[in-house]
Amino acid sequence: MGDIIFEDFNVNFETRKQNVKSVRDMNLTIKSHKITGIVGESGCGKSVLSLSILGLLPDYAKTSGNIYYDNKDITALANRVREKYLGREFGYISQNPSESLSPIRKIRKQFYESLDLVEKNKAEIEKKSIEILKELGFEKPLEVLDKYPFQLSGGQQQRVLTGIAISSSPRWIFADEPTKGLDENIKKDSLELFKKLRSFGIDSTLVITHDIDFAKNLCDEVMVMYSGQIVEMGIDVLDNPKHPYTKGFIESMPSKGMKIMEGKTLSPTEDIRGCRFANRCGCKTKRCDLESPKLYNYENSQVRCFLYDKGE
Amino acid sequence: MIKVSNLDKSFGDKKILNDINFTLKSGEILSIVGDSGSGKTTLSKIILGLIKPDRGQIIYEGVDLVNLGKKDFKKYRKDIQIISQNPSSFFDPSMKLGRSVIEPLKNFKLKLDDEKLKDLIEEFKLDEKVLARYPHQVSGGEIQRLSIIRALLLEPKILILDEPTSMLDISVQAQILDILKRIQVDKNMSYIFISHDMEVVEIFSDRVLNLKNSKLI
Ligand SMILES: Nc1ncnc2c1ncn2[C@@H]1O[C@H](COP(=O)(O)OP(=O)(O)OP(=O)(O)O)[C@@H](O)[C@H]1O
Ligand SMILES: Nc1ncnc2c1ncn2[C@@H]1O[C@H](COP(=O)(O)OP(=O)(O)O)[C@@H](O)[C@H]1O
Ligand code: SF4
Ligand SMILES: [Mg+2]
Ligand SMILES: [Mg+2]
Repeated sequence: MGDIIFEDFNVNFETRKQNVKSVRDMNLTIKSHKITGIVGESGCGKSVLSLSILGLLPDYAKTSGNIYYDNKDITALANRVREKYLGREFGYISQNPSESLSPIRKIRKQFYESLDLVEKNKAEIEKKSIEILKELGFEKPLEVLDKYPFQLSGGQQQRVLTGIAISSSPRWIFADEPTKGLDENIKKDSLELFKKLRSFGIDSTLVITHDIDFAKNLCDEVMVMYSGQIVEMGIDVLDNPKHPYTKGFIESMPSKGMKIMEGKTLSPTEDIRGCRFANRCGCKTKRCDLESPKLYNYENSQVRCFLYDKGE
Repeated sequence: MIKVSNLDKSFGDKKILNDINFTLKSGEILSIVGDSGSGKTTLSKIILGLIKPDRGQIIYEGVDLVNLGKKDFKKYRKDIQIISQNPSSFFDPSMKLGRSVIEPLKNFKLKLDDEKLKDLIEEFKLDEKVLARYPHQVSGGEIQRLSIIRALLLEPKILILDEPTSMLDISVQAQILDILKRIQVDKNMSYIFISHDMEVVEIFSDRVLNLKNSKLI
């Protein structure tokens, strides 16, 4: 129960002039009771993938395939039913706090709205908001409640958003770059907080992050996404990368000297027959242009690359 | 290039900046690091004339920018550009990105060089097709790169980069910082680079100042 299962799932954004395929043939299980991380190139489809679970894609997005949750295909639910999942089942920390926080309402109001789903007693609500803000490293929670978002720095907004999302104790938390704009100290606090989400009644987490150390320290499993597809997943992907993209990605960490991975990602509007990383890959063979690799099992990972095809 | 002296700023009774002094030299990348909420963004907004300081001077080309009226400030506005930590707030949600990107050029009555825009799009590893979309139709990293391009089209002399790679993954971050550095050398620009990633700062900048307890050291 509680797993999120993608079956042949695709997301296309069709407009008159272009067809952007942001998520391609996704077959994937995101396990409950775990912390799963997604890393990958900017624009590869991470946010779109999480928005599709949350049912927050814009109307003109065309999806095909299914997403199962608790044995129900949630893509088939009416909007009205699906909206009920937000806050109760699925909590969301978006990539852009200034878009999710209403600019014209005080933080207090926004906290109350979320807590209202689970608690009706005003005094309790106030107590709980303060408690959560304290956990998030705010020394003066009362002052924060009385502020408008623009009076907070980017990192402070990010933390408030996290607080609001967890306050209603949903089963799942989806966090899109929760550490963006945080300095090292607060990042540490944030790491601790995510580690103990269970004490807030949340036991499954999907976190999208560009912060490799954060992902390493937090996640039970990591998925690497590239150009609309998962190219590698497993428990030690970041320490022991196998896919040529993941290897290059890890090499570009500042602590490794920010080596540059040459080349440009294929446009999501472009369909090709072969591997979507082939135009940048140093290990490419003839087969890579002719056929699209599947996820192959290799040691304790799954890797979308012919180098790991043992012909099973 | 620009000299900041005795700058103070409080919000309410909270002192954010206390007697800030520094000089940005021509052709240098000066980094300002500091914890979240330490006042880095506030400082850059003051340099841009978006917030008035309580006290202090910002001397650029012999003129004190702090006491300039809106109209006079405009003369210098093009020379000093910012890449904001929050790029989407700089783009009109109802306008296609292709139009937004060239909007500042129009404000300064400058002509668009199509080739130049094309080259920048290519250099920053973007897909030209994003120009035909609206801000909510692109990823965080894409809009961040567009905001860099928009600033560079104006050929500023000073660029303030407020966490310019906050929404980029590490591989695109490495590519973008490399390009930014190349452009800075080519055009002999000066950068103020705001970040809290010490590793990145060390690789990228010539000099580092630390904003701590409202002081810059
Ligand atoms: N509403 C939309 N209409 C058209 N294209 C879109 C829309 N939303 C996203 N896209 C495109 O889909 C692709 C994936 O976007 P997504 O936001 O998921 O990227 P991401 O992996 O989260 O990147 P980042 O790390 O930069 O935030 C991008 O190429 C983006 O331009
Ligand atoms: N308009 C405002 N009104 C009140 N407080 C503000 C305002 N803008 C920023 N602050 C506060 O000033 C401090 C510095 O903010 P900022 O410069 O954004 O920090 P950062 O160093 O993270 O960029 C923070 O405590 C923030 O809450
Ligand atoms: S399948 Fe071929 S092109 Fe693709 S990553 Fe593997 S070796 Fe490189
Ligand atoms: Mg995203
Ligand atoms: Mg800031």
